[in-house]
Amino acid sequence: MHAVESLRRDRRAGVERRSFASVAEEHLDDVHAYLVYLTGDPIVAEELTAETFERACRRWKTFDPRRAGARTWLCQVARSTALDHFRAEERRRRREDVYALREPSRSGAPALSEGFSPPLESALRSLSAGEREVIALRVILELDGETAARVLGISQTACSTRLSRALQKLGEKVSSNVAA
Amino acid sequence: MSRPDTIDERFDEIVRELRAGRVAAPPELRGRVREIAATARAPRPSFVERVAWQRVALVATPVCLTAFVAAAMVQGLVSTGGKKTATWGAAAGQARREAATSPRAAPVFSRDRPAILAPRGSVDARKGSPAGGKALSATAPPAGNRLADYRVQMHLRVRSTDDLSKETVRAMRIARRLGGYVVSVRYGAARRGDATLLLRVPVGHVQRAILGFSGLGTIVSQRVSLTDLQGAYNHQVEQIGKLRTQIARSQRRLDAGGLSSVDLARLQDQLAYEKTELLALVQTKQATHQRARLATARLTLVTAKPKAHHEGAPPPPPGRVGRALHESGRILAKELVWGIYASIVAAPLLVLALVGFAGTRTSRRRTERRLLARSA
Repeated sequence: MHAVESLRRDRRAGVERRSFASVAEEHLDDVHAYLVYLTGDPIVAEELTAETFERACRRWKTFDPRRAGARTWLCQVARSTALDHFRAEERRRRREDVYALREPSRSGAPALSEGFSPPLESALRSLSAGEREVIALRVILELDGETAARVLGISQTACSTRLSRALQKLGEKVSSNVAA
Repeated sequence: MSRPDTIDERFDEIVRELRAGRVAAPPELRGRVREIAATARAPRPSFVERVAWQRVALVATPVCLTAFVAAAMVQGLVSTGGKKTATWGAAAGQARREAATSPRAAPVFSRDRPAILAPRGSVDARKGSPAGGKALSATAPPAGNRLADYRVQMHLRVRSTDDLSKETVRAMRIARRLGGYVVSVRYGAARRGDATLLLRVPVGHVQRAILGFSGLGTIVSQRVSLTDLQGAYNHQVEQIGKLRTQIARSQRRLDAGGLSSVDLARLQDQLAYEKTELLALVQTKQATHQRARLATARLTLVTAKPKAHHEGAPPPPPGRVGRALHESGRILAKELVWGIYASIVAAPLLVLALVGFAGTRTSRRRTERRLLARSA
């Protein structure tokens, strides 16, 4: 009986809530990196990171530690925030296309990371947002296949395939950029 | 949770390079996030979080089932309390129906007759004892000076086909000896013999006739009905009297003469019609009298069938617990039917909701794929 009670106490302790501040402090870099890769724009990523934590703060009471880790949950909130941003951007572009010429793509956008070589930076920018996203989750945040698949809302196999293709494409682009 | 899965070795170099250039959040952003986090309050765990739904389901399911069964039991006990035969509804009705059709069943007295007599001898008859004097005491005596239609139905069991033949003949003799006659006889002695006799016996001797018939075998059932005919008979006599007066009056007018040819013809027609009517009424009155003078006895004799005696007997009335269980089962079956009905009604709505949900989800994913397919 004591053993059972003790086990229950341990389980409760394992999923005990931490303060939002400590969670935010711990996972800020991860969320920011994820959004940088997803958007391909560090400035937009910064804004979206702040918005993500605002949303997460509001929804903190809905977070259930038994279902997923805090980092996974924050990544899901970040993804949702980024998708909303993409939708809004698309609407804005459509609206503006009616009256004006499409704005030229920004050539002077800041680098994704100061540590990347120019061929890698260029190759990363040529990937789609979805491809960069899976690289961010699996390579940069080092999430396992199951957790990454959960964040993306796809199966683990699909996640693995997507990662392989993205890395393959990235490698080819880097090679071609180096050759050029 | 964050255990990295293996990534293909071919990409080791790129992976290393990507990880080396890790992106860090700028200090301004960190400051903003700290400000946001400072506004967060320690949330009270929500109800959903506090409740372990699996445990609730584990407890609630047997509790609900127990409640259903208990409700059915209580309803069964309440509805069966103290009214044995009245509430035993279907089973009792079935037993009664069996009794009415089975030659070994308890006597049932017809309800479609104006006068129903429930003889106490019926108990003896059900037990299968030779009735004798008890059967006689159970019958109603003829209605004194009043005219009545007296009918007796007796179901008797005899031991063998030999006895069936003998007792059939004896029944006919009894009727004739008492001044009655045999209207019809149907006799069959195949695997299981039976004979049906329709006899008319003078009402004055009907009790002796019943006594005689009771001795033919074991009484299985017995029905006696008495319909008063005196009122109808009196009405017929009154009508005849009126008609005779009318005929006499018409005859006097005819004899007096002095009528025109048209009136004469009309009076003669009327007189002829009244005489015909009188004749018909007199015949009806005689028939009524005859019907009242002779009682009708319908005897059914069957040979015994030892094994079938127990099989066909009506089941003994169950006790209160049995009735309560039966009632509970009935209510549970009703609950089950309602459950199935609700499922049938709810199923299309559920399917529609699921289709809607799946459609929305697919559409959302397609949009997401399109949005993420764009490069920066």
